Amino acid sequence: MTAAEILATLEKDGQGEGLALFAGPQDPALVVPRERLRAVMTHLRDARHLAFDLLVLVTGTHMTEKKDAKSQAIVREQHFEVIWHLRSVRHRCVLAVKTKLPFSDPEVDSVADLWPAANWHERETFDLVGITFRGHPDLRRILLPDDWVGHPLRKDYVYPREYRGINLEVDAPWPTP
Amino acid sequence: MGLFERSLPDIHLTRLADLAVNWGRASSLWPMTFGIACCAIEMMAVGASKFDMDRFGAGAFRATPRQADLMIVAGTVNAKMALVVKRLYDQMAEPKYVMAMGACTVGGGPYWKHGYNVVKGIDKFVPVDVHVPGCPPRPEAVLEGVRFLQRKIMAKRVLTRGEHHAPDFTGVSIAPGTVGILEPTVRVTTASPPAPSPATAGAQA
Repeated sequence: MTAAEILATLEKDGQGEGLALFAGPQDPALVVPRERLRAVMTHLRDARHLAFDLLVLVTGTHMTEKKDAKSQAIVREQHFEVIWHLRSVRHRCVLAVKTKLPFSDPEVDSVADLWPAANWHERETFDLVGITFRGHPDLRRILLPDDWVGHPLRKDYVYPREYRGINLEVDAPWPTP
Repeated sequence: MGLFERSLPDIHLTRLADLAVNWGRASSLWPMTFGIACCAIEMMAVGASKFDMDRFGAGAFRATPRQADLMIVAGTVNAKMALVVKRLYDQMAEPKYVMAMGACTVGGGPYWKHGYNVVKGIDKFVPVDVHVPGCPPRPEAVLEGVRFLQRKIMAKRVLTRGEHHAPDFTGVSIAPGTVGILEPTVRVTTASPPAPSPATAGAQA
């Protein structure tokens, strides 16, 4: 099943409200509004003709620009995207689900109770990108220390100069040839 | 050496005592089993039978800092790990030595620019005796580092007053032409004649 067929299936099942198709260069994705995320994900997992029983990965991105639909110009606009990659073992297909989050309010529902694998994926996304997952059982940093400041994979991240008295700066700039 | 720490007069007898103590220290460097990242694979190779660091008395890897003399920091040290490395160094008994193994511990390595959490060289928080560059270093390079450290230890003063002696690094240079461990096995011996520059080519025409 391709993403377009899955979208058609979801519309037939009455779950198609607000869904769209993201036509990427090679990996078409299903774009879900964040209010409907829980309902769509539950349906994707539980419906027998979909049966996405494996969550491959959760990741987040900080987007700083987009292409304007009318003028095709690149405009600055900040938002976050969370991407879930699902796999259906029974039907042998993969699906990417995307949700766009506003920059000022990066919060989305957790799916850790649907797929237990999402637990540490969401912690990692919270750690590095700073997206809050509502309803996560234990949302704290997983890679960086608990008292770390900031989220490093954001584009506006300022590199720390020191951490607990340990100097993280570079002594001298790299010599240019 | 406790009470007599670098306080005895610098006479021949005490110098001989220095030599004996230094010989003992340099010949039984016990490293700590401390592999953080990929350099640890090379460190294991150094300890294993093919390269056999035990030839130089440094093959008894200890699993505790209390029994170790040499801390080989083999791998990327990030900010979270740096606290642990510092604590392990503090737990080691004197005299203690540190080898920074690999590009990451020498100066940040590939994480030098965009490694937001990588310490750009462990000499930012522990004193380093030997830097062994490489990504990862060849096992021969680690042996070379151990030999360097042993020469450095042999040049120390333990009982006698005065400055440390200059370490004797003769015979371990890696400059081409000298006999060292790092000598490449294949060397280009025939050099091609230099190409004529455009100016001389024009003058000849």
